[in-house]
Amino acid sequence: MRPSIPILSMLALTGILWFSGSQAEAQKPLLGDVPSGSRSRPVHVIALRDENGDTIQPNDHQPLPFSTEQTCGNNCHDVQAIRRGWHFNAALPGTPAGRNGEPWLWIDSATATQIPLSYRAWPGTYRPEDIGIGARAFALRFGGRTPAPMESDAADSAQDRARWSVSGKLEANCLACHDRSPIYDRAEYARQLGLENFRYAATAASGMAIVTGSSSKMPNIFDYLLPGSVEDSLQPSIPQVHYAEERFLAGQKAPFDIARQADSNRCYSCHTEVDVALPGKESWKAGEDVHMARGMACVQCHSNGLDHAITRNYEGDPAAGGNAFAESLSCRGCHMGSANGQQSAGPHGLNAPYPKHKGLPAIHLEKLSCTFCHAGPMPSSKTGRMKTARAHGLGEHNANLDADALPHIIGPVYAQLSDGKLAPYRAVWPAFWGRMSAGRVTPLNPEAVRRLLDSRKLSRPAPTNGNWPSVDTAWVKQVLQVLNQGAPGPTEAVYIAGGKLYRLDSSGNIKAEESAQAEPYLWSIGHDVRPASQALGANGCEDCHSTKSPVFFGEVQVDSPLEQFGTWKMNHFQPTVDAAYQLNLANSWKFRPWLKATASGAALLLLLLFLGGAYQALVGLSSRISGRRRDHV
Amino acid sequence: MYRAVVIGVFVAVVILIAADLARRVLLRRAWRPIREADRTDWFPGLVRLCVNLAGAVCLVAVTVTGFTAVLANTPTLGGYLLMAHVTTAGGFAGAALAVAVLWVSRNWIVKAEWERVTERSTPSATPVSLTVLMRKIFFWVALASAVPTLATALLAMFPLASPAQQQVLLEVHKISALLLVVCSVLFAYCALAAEWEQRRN
Repeated sequence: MRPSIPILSMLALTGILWFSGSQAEAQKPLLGDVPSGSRSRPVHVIALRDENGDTIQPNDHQPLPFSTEQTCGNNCHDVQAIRRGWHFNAALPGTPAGRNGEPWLWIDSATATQIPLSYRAWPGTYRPEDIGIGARAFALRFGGRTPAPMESDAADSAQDRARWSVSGKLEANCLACHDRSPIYDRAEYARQLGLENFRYAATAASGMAIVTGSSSKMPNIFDYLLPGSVEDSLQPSIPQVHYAEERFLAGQKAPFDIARQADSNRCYSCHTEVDVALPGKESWKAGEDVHMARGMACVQCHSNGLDHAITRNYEGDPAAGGNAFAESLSCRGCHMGSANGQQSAGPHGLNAPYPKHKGLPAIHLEKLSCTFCHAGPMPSSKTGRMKTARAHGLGEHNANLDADALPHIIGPVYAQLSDGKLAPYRAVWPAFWGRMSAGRVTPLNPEAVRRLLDSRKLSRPAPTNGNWPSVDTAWVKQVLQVLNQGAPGPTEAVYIAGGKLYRLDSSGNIKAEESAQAEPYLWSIGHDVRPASQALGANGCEDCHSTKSPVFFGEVQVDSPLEQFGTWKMNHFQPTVDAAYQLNLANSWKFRPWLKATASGAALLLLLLFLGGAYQALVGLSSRISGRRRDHV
Repeated sequence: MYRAVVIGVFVAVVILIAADLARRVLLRRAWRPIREADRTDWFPGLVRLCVNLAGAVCLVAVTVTGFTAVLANTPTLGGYLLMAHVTTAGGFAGAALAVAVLWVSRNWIVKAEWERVTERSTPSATPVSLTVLMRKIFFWVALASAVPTLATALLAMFPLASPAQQQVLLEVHKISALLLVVCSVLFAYCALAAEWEQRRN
């Protein structure tokens, strides 16, 4: 029987209504995405949900860990939109890289490797999957130092892909930034990742539960929903969650101390930076950014909307995306006011002090970034070394506090990058094994190199302080010979370290060459900001315009397992700065007091002469006028 | 704008001097030199020569280094040119003072010249040389403009002015320097012309 036209019409109408209804449903803002405008902290007494979206009762038999994305995203926050924000979008295709930032530093002391990695297209870094580092290896090493989600990618081996189902994927960790509770333990989060307890890490860190066991000990067939299926010997190591029932309120809902604006303490978890000498007993001597000392919080400048596109606060930041307010969140935006040079209240109405810059010629503001004078450690004749939370796991359990622990981050290096302005940078000297083809070096997978060197007994014992191993060029030659055996096609093995590329010549001898890929990777120093009284120039022009000025004539320490005492001239990183001119200018500065004295004396005496002449002219005029009057009389 | 003014002023000065020279050459027979009134020399001739030469050299140096960037339409004076300008400016400051001290005694404007300046006719019995009078006027204007030229550069070297205020100082420096250069050149020309007149007399 053929359906009648009215029936077809009704079906079509129903379909249209259903489609329009689902569209309206999709566009409906979620509860937490439309703040009322109240400045009070929103209360979060919520039901915990596992990764399948089912609510969790703390007294369940073998309860599951809660999922941050399900718990926060269930009807309240648009997690998918948030996952496109700065902290989460590194691996998303089409994301603007922005200016260079801190890379992930993969180190392996035994193979003398220190290589900057990033999923962002920052020149000088290498994308992990391009050198065979899968998401799993990356998550195990760095996942504890970021709130970013991670899951299996194409570079994962079959074994790694199997392990993802055991450990679970790593979700966006909302609590890493927004949980203000004093018991949120990000070191525990990192520890759980080390145990491969990816799906349990946020639960353990939150203090809502204690997590025991380790996924790393579970076989590939382990199913977290059926934990009892493993053999008896592994039973004590099964990951288990023990919720603290006293943390739950009536209705089995849990209170979270969630702040809309992240507490600076949370930012410091991953963004601390400190002089190598200051961790440990000397930590009480560490300084602080002037903004923080004045009571500001990180998020007042590094701000974002619901899209979590946190501003990086440099001019031209793509995260600002044409938003005038976001673009004004920069040094100039807050301190220099409007474009016409008039002071304004600043983007948050905080009335940031307008810099007087007395005696500073305007050209300095064109040639230098604000950070040149105001950010980072004060420069000395030779660069120092610094540690960061992301590179050295500061604040984590068992972080190596030794000053020589890898990776070695050098700074401040005064360099010119894309915008042509001089600014302070941190630097890391890449050290890795690679294959060169057509002049381009592709790093070898560090873990594969490690396995190969282990098998040939060529890997070096890592020093207990975490420094470079004791190696020489003879060792590099040996390793290159091994790597050249069975090298694919017209490629040759090379080693990059300390600004040089090492390769074997036709007679098998090792030779060192210049290579752009051996140059250090640089990224900006934005903090700690120093006030005017501690800025470069506070002691006069000679802070920079002297023959011993570190910003032009300082030495950048070369860091390499082969050469630990070499230096490069600072000017190497300043392509448009004429070092000879700067030296001549600095030398001429010695005569500046003479110039001032001569010009002051000359100006004063010329003024007196002129006044003498003017006096005579007045007398002449006066007598002439009085004479004329007498004539009239 | 400033560049156009500088070019216009420099061209005008050249035309003015050329025209005066032509006038002097063409009307040489009809021209009756007048002796400079109240001429008082405080310094011996060799000192005068050295100081005048030093002043002229420094003026040329500071003018070339200062105005090259303007004439070449370079956005700012910088680099080695600025360094040379500042270096020569020190010498110029000293030389300008020496020239001023050397010439001040000869550039007091005397009663007859005041009458020439303030009256259309020359009622005074003492004849007045227009060349000498112009030399004296340019001397005093140059002296007046030298003070802000030096003072603005000096103020910029001390931690007193903000970058915006330094821009104002720079603008004042540029205007007063142009006036200083023009008046110095015309003063030098008038001084030479007056000297020539005296020797013919």
